[in-house]
Amino acid sequence: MSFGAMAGWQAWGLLALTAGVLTWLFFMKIRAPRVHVPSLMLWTQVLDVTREQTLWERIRKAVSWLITIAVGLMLMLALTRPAPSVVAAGGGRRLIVIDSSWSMGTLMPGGGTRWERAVTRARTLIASSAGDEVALATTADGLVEGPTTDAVLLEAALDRLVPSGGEGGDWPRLADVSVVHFITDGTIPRPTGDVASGGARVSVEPVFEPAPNVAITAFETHAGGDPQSQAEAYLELANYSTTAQPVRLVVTRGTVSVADTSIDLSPGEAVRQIVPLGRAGDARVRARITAPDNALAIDDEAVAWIADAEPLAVTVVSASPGFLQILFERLPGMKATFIAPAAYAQPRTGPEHVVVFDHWVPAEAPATPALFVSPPPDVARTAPWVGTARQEPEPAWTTSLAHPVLRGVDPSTVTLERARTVESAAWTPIARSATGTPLVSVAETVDYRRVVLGFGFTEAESNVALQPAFPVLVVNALEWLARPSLGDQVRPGVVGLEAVVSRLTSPEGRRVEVTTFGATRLARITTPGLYLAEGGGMRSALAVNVGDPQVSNVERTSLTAQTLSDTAAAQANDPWWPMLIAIAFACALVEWWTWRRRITV
Amino acid sequence: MALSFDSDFLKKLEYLHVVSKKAFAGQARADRLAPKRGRGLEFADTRPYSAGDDFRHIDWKAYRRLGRLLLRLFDEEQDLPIYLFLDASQSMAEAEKFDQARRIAAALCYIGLAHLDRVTILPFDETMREERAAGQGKGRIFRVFEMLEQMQTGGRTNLADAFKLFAARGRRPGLSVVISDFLDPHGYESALKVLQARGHDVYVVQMASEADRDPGALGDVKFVDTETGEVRDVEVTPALAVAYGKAWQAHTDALHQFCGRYNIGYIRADVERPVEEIILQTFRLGRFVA
Repeated sequence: MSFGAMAGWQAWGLLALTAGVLTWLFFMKIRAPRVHVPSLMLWTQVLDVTREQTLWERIRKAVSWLITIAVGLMLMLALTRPAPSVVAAGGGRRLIVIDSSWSMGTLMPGGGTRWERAVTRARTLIASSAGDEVALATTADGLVEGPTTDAVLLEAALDRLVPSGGEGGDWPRLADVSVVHFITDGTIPRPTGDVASGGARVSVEPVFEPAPNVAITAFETHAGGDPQSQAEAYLELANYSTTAQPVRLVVTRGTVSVADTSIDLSPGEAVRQIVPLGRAGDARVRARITAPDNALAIDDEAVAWIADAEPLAVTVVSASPGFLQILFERLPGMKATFIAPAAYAQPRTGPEHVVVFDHWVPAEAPATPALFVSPPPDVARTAPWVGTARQEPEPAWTTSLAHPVLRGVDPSTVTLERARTVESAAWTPIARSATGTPLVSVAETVDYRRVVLGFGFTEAESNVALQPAFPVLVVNALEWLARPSLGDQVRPGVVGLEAVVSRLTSPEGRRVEVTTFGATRLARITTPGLYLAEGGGMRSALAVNVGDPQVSNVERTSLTAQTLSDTAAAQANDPWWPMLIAIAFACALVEWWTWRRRITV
Repeated sequence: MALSFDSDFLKKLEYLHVVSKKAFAGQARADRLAPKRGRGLEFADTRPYSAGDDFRHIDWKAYRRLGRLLLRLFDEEQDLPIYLFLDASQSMAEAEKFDQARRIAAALCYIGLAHLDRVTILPFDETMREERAAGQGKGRIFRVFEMLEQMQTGGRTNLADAFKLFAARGRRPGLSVVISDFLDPHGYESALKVLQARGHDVYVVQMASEADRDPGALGDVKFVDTETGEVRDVEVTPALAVAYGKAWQAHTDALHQFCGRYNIGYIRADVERPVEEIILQTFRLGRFVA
């Protein structure tokens, strides 16, 4: 036997102390009260007669004493939370891994969630560790606590844990682990062989119970085919239950409802819905469903972000904007302001997402993302922060890297009369001429994002302004600078971010830690929702959704029937303490009843 | 304790009289039929005249018819000697019990006084204390009350020694009423037999309180004998309490059976019952008063 609340020697000591104290109390002679009686004559007679019955009375008193001891011991045992010892094969460390997939939040028909049942099972395993070292891990968080023999530490760690995804996570590897208890519902199939566990024996502890569920399995927004529409929301709904269900779908944009409809979903049916979104409105789009039999709540809501819902404020600093002015007047979703270089001053006031410097570079680096078009040749003197100038007559655009700025740009249509650009360690060329002159360079740090085009848009410099590549290149550069796409269908877990993202804020306004790992930035996102990403003057949103058919289909499991049949055995190992308290109560009741009926002494 | 009875109860007591199974010779003329012929008003019999008889009682009409001198005899009506033995030992010290005993004694005393009986109150413990003659006539009841109020409990119970002392005094036999709890380690049998042997018509009134029947205490208790001061440590278990209750009942039954065997009137007077109910119902049912 092992004890969940304390070490074995402490528990046995407590039990021995309890028995001792109860015995002492049972036989302790309290100071008897003095009672005056008219005569001791009758008492003497009675005591003389009853003296013959003392043996029977002693037996009954001994029984009463034993019941008292039993009641006390059972109450103390309940406090110590005993459990049958589950000794690992050959002893040694034990690793308890709880599957923290979102499906573990499923509300089961029998009551409680799979996660609650998993935590209960983990507590039982910890209590039955019999002094072995135990480590606690989840598929999302890895190693959470231990290895340790301190059950209190492990219990405290269990209290902190919640389902947080980690569908693709591996088990942590621990040395000298002899057995791995993997508590899972099996919704996400995982390898449970000895290889996955580093050679340790794997004991799968199922917490599966089929439950009906309705889910949003996909949700995103993209540009609509209708010219009047700014975007459209794309949804997939699925009914993972054995009965048809009416599902109510509500799509809101900000606080405004844009769709409120009811859909009858047959058993196992999945439907796709497209909701047109108007030009005006909030960038935040939220979809929510409700259904009668819906066991998992996390997949009932999904969020999306319309990147171009808000017009991009662009300031063009140019002595002669020319084609740029014509372009910005025609680009939807852009709000351009044109100023002469002499009027440019820092710090800037008013809303401004990007500044375009046309044939001119300020003496000090701008604070906002900037697009430089054909920097002047004396830039090394007037603006040394930007680098050194480099020129090449009639360059041939031969090399292009895969970069969002160049997406959709066909270099073969472009003829350059001259290239005039800047070079420094901060710039990374993404397009070069045949001789290696950078034609398009980008600079990206945690503080800023910049793009420099080594050619202008006048007829004397290039034919770009007359080519389809012109608006594509400019819009690409502006979007990359001001509101880069952070990815679609982002799921909770470890998320890779653009290098410029330095600050990530959760939907609740809580700051999410962003760590740099080599050239990438990583953030661990534990809950779905709309996250705000900022850095280098850009500002974008990250829509994180759980929606996944594999997660939401909580009617089935990947566990085998044999493994599932072990569920009953696992549940049979329920904690003993409620039973102990019940027995103690029954014993006390029997003692009280026999006392009332004067059966016992 | 102030002894008093309300006027209604006193009026009811006046209609009662103490029933004696025997006729006793009294000292003064009263309502009771004496065993000898005397000078009463009721004609009883005639007998031949002998020298020295009172001429006034010669039946001259019979002499003319029969030619013999016959003397007319009349029933003698005298008072009844009533002895109220009141246990004043320390075992009666329980206030309610002794008060109840005094009330019963006072009530019986009043019945006797109302019928001009000669009532004597005899408190006793291990010896017979100074006896108090109540006198005759119901007007003496207040003096009786006063006497009873002044009575104190004390000493051990020893019925046999006390009644032997009484017997030695050579009192005229009469109706003897013993009011006691009869918790006498020496036994009550010899004491009651002594009275009977002296020709008394004996009645027993057993006083019983709740404390006598059931000690009411459970667990470890130090019982203190109020008479001897003896202390006994007893663990009163529910079973022991039941056994004590049975022992007390056996003691009561034994007293009752003894009284029945020796033609002694027995009445049990529980402390909890009103004295009016005891006198008017229990004593009547026991044919002690009528």
